Amino acid sequence: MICSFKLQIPGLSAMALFLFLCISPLPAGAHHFKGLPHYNYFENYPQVPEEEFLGRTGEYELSLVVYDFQGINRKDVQDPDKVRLFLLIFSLDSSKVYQGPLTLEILDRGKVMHSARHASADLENIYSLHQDLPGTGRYALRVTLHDEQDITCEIPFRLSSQTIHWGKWIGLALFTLITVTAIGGRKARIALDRKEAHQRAKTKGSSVHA
Amino acid sequence: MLELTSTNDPVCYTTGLVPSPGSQFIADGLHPDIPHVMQGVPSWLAMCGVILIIFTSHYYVSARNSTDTLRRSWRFNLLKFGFLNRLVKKQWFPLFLQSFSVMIFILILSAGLFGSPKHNIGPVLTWTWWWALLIFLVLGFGKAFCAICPWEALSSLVTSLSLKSRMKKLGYEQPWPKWAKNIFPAILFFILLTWFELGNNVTHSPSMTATLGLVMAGTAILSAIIFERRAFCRYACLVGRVTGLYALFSPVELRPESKEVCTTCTSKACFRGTNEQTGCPTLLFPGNLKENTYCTLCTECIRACPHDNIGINLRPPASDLFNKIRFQWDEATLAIVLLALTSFHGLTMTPLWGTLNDQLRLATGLGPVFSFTILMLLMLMAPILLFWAGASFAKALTQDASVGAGKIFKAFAYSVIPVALFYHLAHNSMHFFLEAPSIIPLLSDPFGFGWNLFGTAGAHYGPLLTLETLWGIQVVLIVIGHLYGVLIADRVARTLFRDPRRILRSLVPLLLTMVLFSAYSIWLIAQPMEMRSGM
Repeated sequence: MICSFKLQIPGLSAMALFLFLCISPLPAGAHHFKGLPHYNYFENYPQVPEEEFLGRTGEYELSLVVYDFQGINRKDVQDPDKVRLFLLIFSLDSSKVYQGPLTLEILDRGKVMHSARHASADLENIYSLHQDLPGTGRYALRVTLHDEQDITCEIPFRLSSQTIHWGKWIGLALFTLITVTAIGGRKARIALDRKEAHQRAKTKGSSVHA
Repeated sequence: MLELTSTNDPVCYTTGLVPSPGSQFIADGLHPDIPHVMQGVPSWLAMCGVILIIFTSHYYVSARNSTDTLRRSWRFNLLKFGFLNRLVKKQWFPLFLQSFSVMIFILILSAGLFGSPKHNIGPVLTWTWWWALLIFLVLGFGKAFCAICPWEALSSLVTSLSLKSRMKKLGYEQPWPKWAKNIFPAILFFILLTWFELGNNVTHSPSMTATLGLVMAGTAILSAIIFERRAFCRYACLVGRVTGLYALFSPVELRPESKEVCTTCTSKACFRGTNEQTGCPTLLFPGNLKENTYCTLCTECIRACPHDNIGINLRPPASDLFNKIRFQWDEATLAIVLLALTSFHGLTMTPLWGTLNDQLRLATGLGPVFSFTILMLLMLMAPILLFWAGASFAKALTQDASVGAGKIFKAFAYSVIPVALFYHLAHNSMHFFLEAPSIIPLLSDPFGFGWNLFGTAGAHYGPLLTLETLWGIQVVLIVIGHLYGVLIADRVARTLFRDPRRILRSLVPLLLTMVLFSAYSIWLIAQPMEMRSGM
């Protein structure tokens, strides 16, 4: 019986090798980079924009990256109200980036604040827009693709001052919670110590009495 | 280390890495839209690795000694060195060690919460340095991280209200809930963290990294106040449990020198504590300690022992795994989950992952979070189901009524630990050796305020190793992990069965499963990798 199993092992191993050979040449196609360049990667390692908003229309996925200078060291920035928008349009169907003509409109509560028509993508497959947007709050970018048919998509985005980090609030909440719990814990510990001391004294007293 | 002074090469510019002859980075060819992808291990080297894995497994099974028995291996007590012995017995020793990690932790928190969201040392220090080196630390020194854990240090400071002693001066001392006295809570946290980290790009965000650290610290401190001793460390800390399972492999252990001394000891001060020492914080009796998993190397027992009977030993690697006779469901589950999640992390960095996500979303209309979650669950379940199939097949072959498929699954899961550990090391090697130098400019300007403390701000440094060297290291690590896995599987089979034929029959399907796991690991490192994460 042992012999028969030994003979089976190369067969099973060959299956594993065959499986590996089958999966190894899988094409390394496009993935979620989708042509998005790594801004400032040269300067630091974890370089991903803070604000990214996604939209979807038909086969197209739209990724809007917002560089909002209102909150990032505002005092050091020459144009603190300048907001840069970068748009990437990716076809989930063909795994290709859309580079054709389109119109971009920035909407503030439905009102068109700025409109621009692009004949093609202007940098690395990306459409860009620079605009002064001094107020914080909710905006939207309306994208009209002038492909075979005009497809329109609205991507809501927000501009926040970023002066308040939610991490700081979480930290503050935790600090408060720990302080309150610790004060309660101290009282509980004192009560426990007293109870134990009382019991020890009682035991000692009864043994002396005996 | 190579310093990149100036280059016009766009690939070098985006990666910050120095190319060596042989076209290591993909400028174009695979996909024109990918500006920063690191090429994986070449096919010939990957194939050599897989062939080596298959043939060594086969050779070992063919040539193994059927009468091999357990042997007690060598030990060397490091506390025989007088200086080290005296140092460990100082009251301030734990906090002395922890003070360094606390300072680094405070730096990460400050940078994350108050620094620039762009130029920030927090994510690099956390994900490229700490998380990558943590696994190397376990390999060399076992649970050493728990000994220097900043969260535990802060818990001690709060509950003892002292810099010197760890004796609790506040706390409700509630027992940990009975239903949660296992490591399933830690497994759940580990899965949630991975989902949160990969699904929300935590590794790229200084504020989210800092907040995650804060939440961990807060949870540890609150648990220390509410529950007895350090129940959180034992049952719920995902870092402690992951390193705990890997530490079964490590060549360092804390053990009693003589079991007789511990048996006859009446005080049991190592467990109960003394007026100055707390006793074991993770509720272990060090006198009967057989495994590294739950020991935090806090050295409280060494200071408490009235007989000077606890030592810190060097030993052969994987001793705990070779001597394992008690198998637990929670630990076995974590072993498979570890393998699944570490390889899942690698998979998410390959181009295939993006394609899978896109196709699923196109087919179902799901949002990115849902499709990510579904695929993550599938990738988590796949190794578990595969291993269960292997265990069921082994059960059918062995036909031993006393050993069911569940027991086989539970026991053999431990043999996957070296496979997971060494893949994790191979993966982290890539991150550390290629990306670690990025910390040098950040040391001069950790908050991104435009400082230049050491004159290195704005400088750019190349990787610590060339890609060719790294590829070799990665393949060798995975092969070593597989070999240890095979050896441990053999030992587990001998523990479960006495009949040599049954031992061999149980090994065949499970070794095949392990070959598949290891081949998958090799395939992963052979894929082009997106250099965006620190895990």
